[in-house]
Amino acid sequence: MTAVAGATARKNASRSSGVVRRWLRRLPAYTLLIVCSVILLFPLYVTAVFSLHPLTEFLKEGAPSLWPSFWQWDNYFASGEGVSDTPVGRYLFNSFVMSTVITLGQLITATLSAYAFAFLKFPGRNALFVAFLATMMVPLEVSIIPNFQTMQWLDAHFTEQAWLSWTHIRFIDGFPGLVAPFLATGFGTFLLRQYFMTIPRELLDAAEMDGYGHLRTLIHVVMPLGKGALATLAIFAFLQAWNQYLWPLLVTNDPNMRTVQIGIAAEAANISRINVAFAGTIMAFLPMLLLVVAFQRYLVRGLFGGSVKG
Amino acid sequence: MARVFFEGITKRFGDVYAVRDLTLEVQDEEFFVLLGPSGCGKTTALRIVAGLEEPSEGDIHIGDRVVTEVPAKDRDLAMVFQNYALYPHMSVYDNIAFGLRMRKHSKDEIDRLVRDAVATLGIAELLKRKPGQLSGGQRQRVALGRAIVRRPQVFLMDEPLSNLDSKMRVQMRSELIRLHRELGATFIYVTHDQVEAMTMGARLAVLNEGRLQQVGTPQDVYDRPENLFVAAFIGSPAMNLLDAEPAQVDGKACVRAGGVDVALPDALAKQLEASGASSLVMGVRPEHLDLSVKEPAVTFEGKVDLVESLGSEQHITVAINGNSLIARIAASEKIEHGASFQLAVAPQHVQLFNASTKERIGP
Repeated sequence: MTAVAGATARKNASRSSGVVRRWLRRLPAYTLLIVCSVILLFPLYVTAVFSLHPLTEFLKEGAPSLWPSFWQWDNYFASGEGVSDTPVGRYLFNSFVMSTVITLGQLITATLSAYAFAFLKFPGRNALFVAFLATMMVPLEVSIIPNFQTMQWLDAHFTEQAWLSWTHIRFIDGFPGLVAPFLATGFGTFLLRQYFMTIPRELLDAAEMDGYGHLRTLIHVVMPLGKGALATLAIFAFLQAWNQYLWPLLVTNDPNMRTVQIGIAAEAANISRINVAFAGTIMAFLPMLLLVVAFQRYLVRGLFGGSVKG
Repeated sequence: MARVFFEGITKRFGDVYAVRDLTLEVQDEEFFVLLGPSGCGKTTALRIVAGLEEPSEGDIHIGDRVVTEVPAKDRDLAMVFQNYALYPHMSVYDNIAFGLRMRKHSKDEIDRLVRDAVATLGIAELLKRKPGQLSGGQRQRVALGRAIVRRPQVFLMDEPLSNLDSKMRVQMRSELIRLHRELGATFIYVTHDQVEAMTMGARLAVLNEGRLQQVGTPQDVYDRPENLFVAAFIGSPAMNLLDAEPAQVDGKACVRAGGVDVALPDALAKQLEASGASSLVMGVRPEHLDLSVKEPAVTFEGKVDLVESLGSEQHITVAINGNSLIARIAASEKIEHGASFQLAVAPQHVQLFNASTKERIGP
């Protein structure tokens, strides 16, 4: 009896010491992760705290407090002085429209080109694909001047030529100019092509036997299977468009056409409303946070159950 | 009328010939099997019939039409793929209905056809499931359902049973035979599995390296292989093949193989003489080698190298003058490894091949 109890106690002891050992083994990794998280999240935290300070906090001597002393939600909502009263609404709208159109454009162009590169045989396919890849190596700063000149040229044509001017399409200070250079990317094509290549060839053969042409096969078979990759591309495209700074700055002068990033920057230059500028920054950031949280599973999950024998 | 005729079909991929000058006629409502090792061109030949590949040369006829230029969907045929190729994001119902939706059937008609098809295959209770929730056998049935729902004239099957476990395979084999009988359609069935080919096909064609080796009923091909490839490929365990040369004993034509003179039946002796072949390969099926045969018989002597017991029978490998022979022997015989052993064969079961042309000699 006592021998059994002793054995159980020993077993329990060794089990709990096993737990401790496991924790000790993981401790360095966790410490490192916590330190990294703190470094990454600290600026965000500071911004959030500052966005709730009253203006006096910034005017007093010394650095503003890192704790919210007085939760001044008015920075966000009060009429006449909060973010809601600045054109931030307009900025957010502009950013949203621009990012949405860019995202849709990339989804359409990348899906079509990726389908062609993944499934169709045509002369020059590989060379063309390499050319697509090469565009990924060209940084924005290299193409930004020629792109801007193109926009200027287009804008001039659309405003001056009678047969175009009735469209009221503006490439400077207009959405077409904000989105045009980003509607098609080598990255999107590459990402989707790699994913499409993992779709078993037989599924496309089966669709062909069932009488589906390329476009229908793309819509009914390839796109539903590539949902995960499409979502990934959509999130990438949206985030990238949303966070753009240089290009919108270049092609917009009208405050009404500013995107949120530029609008907030302009707002931050106004020291008398610095707390409101921080609130605006948080508002610019929140949609992105929600987007990533909502679609996170598409960043990690593939959709493959049962297409082939598994 | 859905006879399928391959007229001089050749398919090249770059410099590689997948199919070479294949001419072959599949009869209306026939269960026809294309058999060969992997890479022999059988799947390519099937895909050419399906319209998924274009032949480099030659034409495909289905019924009275030349369909070489006709798109796959207009050929009135259905294909069952090796890995089933079910659309993973669709339910069983949608998988089966998918092809019908393209063909402008009314919704009610689609529903009726799908329910007919699943009733035939006994999968009515699976309609709402996704392929990922099905077992291998169920997926196979859904794939068949997708094919039969369109009532095509010709069914193309590309190794449809190779992903199933062996028990399921035996069951599906008989179901396919039953299905063929019920549908009365032409089946072209590709496999590398000779058991499937022998049991299911009314006729079969053996392919190797893109070339047609032999066409005939399974029994025909088994009993009278036209060349060494077919002889070695069909049958398990494989036919015993021994190097041999023509000889004369007492003025009678015979062959010398494995150190033994084998007297030949008259007809075979005549054909051997007529062929003028100087070096030969002699073939004997393992079931024709036995401990003793009624006279006249030829006896090979050697040592038992390997005994494989299968329960119902045993396969004995006997080493004979540097060759080895495999015999199928009744399980009741006690045979020990290393023992001296005699194997007898009746001369009428001896097959001869010309070693240089690799062609069959004899009736």
